[in-house]
This record gives sequence, structure tokens and C-alpha cells, in this order.
Amino acid sequence: MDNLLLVYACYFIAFATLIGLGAFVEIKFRSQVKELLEDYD
Amino acid sequence: MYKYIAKYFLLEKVFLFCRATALWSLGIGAISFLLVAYLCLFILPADATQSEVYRILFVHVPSAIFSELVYIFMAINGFIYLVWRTKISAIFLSSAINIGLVFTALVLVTGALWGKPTWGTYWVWDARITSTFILLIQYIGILALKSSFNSKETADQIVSIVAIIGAINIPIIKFSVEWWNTLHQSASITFSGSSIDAEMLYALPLMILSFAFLAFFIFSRNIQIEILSRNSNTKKVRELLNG
Repeated sequence: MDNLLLVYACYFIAFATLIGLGAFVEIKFRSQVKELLEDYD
Repeated sequence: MYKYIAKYFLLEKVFLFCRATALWSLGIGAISFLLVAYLCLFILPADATQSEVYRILFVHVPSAIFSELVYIFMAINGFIYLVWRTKISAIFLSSAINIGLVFTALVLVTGALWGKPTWGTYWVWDARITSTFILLIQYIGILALKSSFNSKETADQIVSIVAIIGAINIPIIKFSVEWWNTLHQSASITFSGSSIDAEMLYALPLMILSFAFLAFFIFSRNIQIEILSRNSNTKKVRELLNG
């Protein structure tokens, strides 16, 4: 049972890390686009 | 030959390609990861010797592959940038750093979690694990180096040089298990065959593919961020954003 928890933890860590980094770059990208569009206006 | 390839890597074309494919890549990557994870966790049989804990390898091995492939990609782009001064190579290099960093961190964490029930310890300073840890430090160093120069051009040059020199660690990681006596086992999959049963093995390329889609999403957004930050005052970028 303990080992299964370790296994689930690994999958969760991998998914959360990749989606987390994805969300971070997406937010960074969107705010950059918004900032540039405001500058151009 | 190089000029023929280069015309497909104009900043504008790359930006538009990334914009068109990024969210698709995220969707395919996220859904396929969940499906393959279900397959690995609930459908594949338990291993005869390692029991349930072997399932960690379906996350550990793809992370290991990408941690090294991303670095090779960075070193190649660093070389191209230094030789031909192509902006897009510097952008590719910069955009790959945080992806490689995350995969290397993942390979170390999942390896440690696999090691505890299998080896009886989370960590040993054997050649494979130590060289992978050095790779993590290299990624952190390159990421720090990239943001420590005011001039993008200077940063690109220094980062390219460091990436190329650091590539020496990749064959060390790969062959460490053969050159030295390590706790980490040697490769399970070689050109001559696999020690993993076919009933379990087919899930591995599927997981590699889902990792590739998720990595491509992050990579393409990083590219877009780099292009915008390097060319924010140009007419082309205005057209790209308004178009």
C-alpha cells in the first residue's frame, strides 16, 4: 500500500509539474501580449 | 543547404506556427498523459520482482530521456548560433532551458521515490545519479546566466558557449553505468532488445509521446515570449499581435 502511494505521488508530481510550468508560461505570455498591445495603443 | 532550411525558421513563421499549435499540443499532451497514466497504474500487470513500484519507471524513463535530449538540443543550437549567428537558434536555446530543468528535477525526484522501496535508500552518490545531479546544476546555472546580462546578444553568446562545454556531461550520464560500478542498473532497452516484457513495454513510448506534447506546448510559448521580448518595438511584432 505504501509503495502504491509512492507510485501515485510520482505520477501526480510529474503531471502537476508539467502543467504548472505550462500555466506559468501561458500567464507570462498572455500578460506580455496584453502589455505590448496597451503600449501600442 | 543551410539557407534552404533557414527560410523555414523566420521569426514570423515560427511565431505563427507556435501560435497555431501550442494549445492543441497542451490539450493532446494533457489528455494523453491522463489516459496513459490510467493504463500504467490500473491496467498493466504488477511486476514479478518489483511488484507495484516498477510503475514509477513509466514517468522516470521519459523524464530521463528528455532531460538529456533537451540538453543536446540546446548544445546544437548554441553551436549553430555561434557559427551562423542565427537569432532563432539563440531563441530555441533560451526556450528549452526551463523544460530541461524540470525534466531533470523530475528524473531525480521520481528516481529517489523508486529507490527507497527498491534499494532501501532515496539517494546514493553513484556515477549515474551524481552526473544527473550535475546536469540539474548545469540547467540552473545556464538559466541564471541567461538573465544576468543586460545585453541579449552577450547572454546568447555566453550561454551558447557554456551549453556546448557542458554537453560533455551527456555521454558521461549515458555511459556512467558501464564505465563505473554503480547501484543504478544498466540500460533495460538497447538496440539488441529489451529486458522489459512486451506486455508492459508498449506503454513507455506512449508516455514519451505525451511528455513530448506537453514539452512542446511549454517550448512554443517560451519561443513566443522570447520573440516578443526581443522584437517588441518592431513593426512585424505589431502586425503579428494585431493580426
